[in-house]
Amino acid sequence: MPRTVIGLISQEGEGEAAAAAEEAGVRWHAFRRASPFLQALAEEPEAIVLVSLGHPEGGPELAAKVAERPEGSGPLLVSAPGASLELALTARKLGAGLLLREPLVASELAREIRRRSRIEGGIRLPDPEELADEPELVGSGPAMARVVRSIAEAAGASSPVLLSGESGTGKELVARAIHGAGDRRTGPFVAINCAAIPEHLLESELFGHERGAFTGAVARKEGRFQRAHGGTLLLDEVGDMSLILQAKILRALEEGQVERVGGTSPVRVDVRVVAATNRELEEEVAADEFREDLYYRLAVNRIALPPLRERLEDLEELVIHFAGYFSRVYGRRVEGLDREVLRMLRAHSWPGNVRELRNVLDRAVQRCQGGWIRPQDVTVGADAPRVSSRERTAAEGYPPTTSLEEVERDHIIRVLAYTDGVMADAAEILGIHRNTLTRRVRALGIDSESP
Amino acid sequence: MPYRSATWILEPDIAEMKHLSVEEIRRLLPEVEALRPLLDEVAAAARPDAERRWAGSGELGTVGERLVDPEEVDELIPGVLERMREHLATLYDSAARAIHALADDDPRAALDALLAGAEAEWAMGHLRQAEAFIEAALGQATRLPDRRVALPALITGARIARAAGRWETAEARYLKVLALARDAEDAQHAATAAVGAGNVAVDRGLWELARMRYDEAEPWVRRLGPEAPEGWHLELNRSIVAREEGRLLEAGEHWERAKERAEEASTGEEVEGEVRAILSNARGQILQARGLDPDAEVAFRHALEAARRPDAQVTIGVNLAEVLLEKGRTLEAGQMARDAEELALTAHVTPRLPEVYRVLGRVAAARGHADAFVFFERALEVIREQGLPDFERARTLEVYGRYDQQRGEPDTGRARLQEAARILGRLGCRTALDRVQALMNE
Repeated sequence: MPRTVIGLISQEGEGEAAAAAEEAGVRWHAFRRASPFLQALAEEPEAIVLVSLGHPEGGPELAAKVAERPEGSGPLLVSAPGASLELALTARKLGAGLLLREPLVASELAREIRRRSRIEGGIRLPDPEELADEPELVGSGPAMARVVRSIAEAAGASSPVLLSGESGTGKELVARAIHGAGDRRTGPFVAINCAAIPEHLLESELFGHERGAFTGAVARKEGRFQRAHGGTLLLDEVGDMSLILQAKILRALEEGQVERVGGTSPVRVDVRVVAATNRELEEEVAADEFREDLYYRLAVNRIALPPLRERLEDLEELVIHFAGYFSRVYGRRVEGLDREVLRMLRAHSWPGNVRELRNVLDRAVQRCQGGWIRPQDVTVGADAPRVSSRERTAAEGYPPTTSLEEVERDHIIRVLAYTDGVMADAAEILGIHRNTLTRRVRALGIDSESP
Repeated sequence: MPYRSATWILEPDIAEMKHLSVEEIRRLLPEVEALRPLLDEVAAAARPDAERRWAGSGELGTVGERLVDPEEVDELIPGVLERMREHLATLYDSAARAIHALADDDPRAALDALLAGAEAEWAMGHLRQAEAFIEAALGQATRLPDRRVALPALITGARIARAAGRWETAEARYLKVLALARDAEDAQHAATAAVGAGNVAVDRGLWELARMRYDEAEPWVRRLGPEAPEGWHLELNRSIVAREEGRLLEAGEHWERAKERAEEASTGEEVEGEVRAILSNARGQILQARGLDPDAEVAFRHALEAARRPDAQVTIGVNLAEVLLEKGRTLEAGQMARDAEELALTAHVTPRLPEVYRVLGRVAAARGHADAFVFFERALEVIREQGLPDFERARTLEVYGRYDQQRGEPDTGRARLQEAARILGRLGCRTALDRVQALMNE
């Protein structure tokens, strides 16, 4: 049975809304008064709801009331005459996603209806042409709305920004968004991960080097500071940088110039620095592991990114986004996913945050059959840090210093003891040919009579 | 282990002793040969940093970022000492036997003793030391009227030289064996030498020469009968040459013949194990060359399932990662390469690490990491530390140079490619040299 859209909109918008509903394959019920509108909602809680923020009986208060309906209720769409950052943020706060501009345009509304539409027992993905390219900040819940507001504020300034948050929360995406929304957007965005690069290479990556400055300096090289000239430089995992390099970064920020390794003359750079960290930098400062002066230089604007477990209201949007993205990357048709999948995902603690969710959907899209993601296609927690083979052995009763040969010897003795020394039976248990077992017994110096 | 009172253990600075990265330990210690076995053991015992698992740097971690508990280093020492003691005992025994043989004026026994020393060093991955033993063993051979006595030492010497990437020496030794064996109508040694010389030509990308050597091996291999493994080795190697020359149908035909001959020559267990691993891996490479990536993936997975030797598992894992990378399945490709890295470290097949890091670097680049170059840098470090062949360095510089070109550093990229070309030219690797020169002209 097709879904229903219940709308509280003005008479002028009704024609476009009806056309959109027809295009999206849903039924359309329009109301001009709040009271019958709310009654219809109560009767059909799973319906998609459209509220005009500019309607005399609608507005943000009524939309907020609709947004507070219990979990499982249909999605909320909001429209407003004109657009402003405030209205866009209101729409996000309400969990309504995109703010639709009035007068309504049938094709836009239809696309949004399809995007937010749920089908019985599952969640349908948008059409492939409507899928966003990565990277994109996804999420319309209040926590992300705060982040979006902070991005807008930081983008307008020129001072450094410090992004903090757990690993996998999307700090690089936020840095890119700040760059993309600010005056430097036409300049380059350059990122460097300070924790990934060995100490002896990091300086030359940051500041560049002259040819022959050290072994491996095969040609003159521009550093990331120079490459980011006129744009933004993201210093990711800045808390992992040594104190010596911290001092050099501070100097670059204060003087606006850098010196290549092996070079003699400084080079002027005009770079906005965005630093990111998953550490508590204040604690690092207190422990003398991070320079206080650099900290205050970087933390002029601070944006804290919420972990995924604290913004589960965005989970569905994220799932749809990644499922859609990977369906396009792998050229696999994925129409949607079971609601049970979403329940499974909600139950996970997401230590790896959005990065972990992205991996889960990457695999799910590859595994799913018939264009639909089901619970069996989803493995949550598979990316947990793996124990090394030594730890596995230790867990099974061998000390971590045991060699493979010792383990093999010990196991063969145990199996021979179990089979009362019968080689054929032992070989069968071990899954090897009897002659191989004989060879191994001889090579490992096992007395086959001993068990 | 030193004695500690309970109170001392409970002191927070001891209880919370900091784990160190392999990199920190490496930078601390001087580069002396005696510490190498301990450092290898430390690397094998190190674990990925769980706290970094989800950080942006987590995907870029190499052996250098793995963590070691300093307490564990103490525990590793007895095992390392025992292995070193056993190894030295073998070497000293070989030396003692050689001395006695010299006193007895028995150069043949001296040769055998020194050959045992070479094999022991080779088994430890000490290629330079193994080579020194081989030279000493061959020195004894010159004292013998019957040069054929030197054949096993020459063959082992050729294999060691090949493993060390010293292809001219390897080829010269194989050819010497071939000449001696041919004169003596010794089919076994002639077949081994001709196939070996062909393999060296394959390593150098000299396809025509490789075909010639394999053709020369054919009659000798036939004389060994259908149960000789040289039969299927020969067909498989021919399929590699045909594949490299782009004659993919012919490569498939040679592969089919290799399979038939392997089934004839091997026990059921072998066919299910290492033989299947080698055949499936080769099949995967042919299918990949034909652009049949899904089938290649299946073949590599079969190979991985059957493989028993860690070095084979690492190489097949890398091949599988390559196919997954080709298909854009970068997450899986990265995981497969990570598994190969873990195995290379824990099973002490570190000479395979550069190939693992080359594919990890390409995966990281495909996943948009601006710092993917750290893998290529690590590969170069491993090559230097382990004294791996120059060919490995050239291959790494080729991938690194291409990466530099793609990330907008053409001068650096060109300089790396030039260095790769210089090495390949010196080694006489024509195909690889052509490929690198084409990259330089792009």
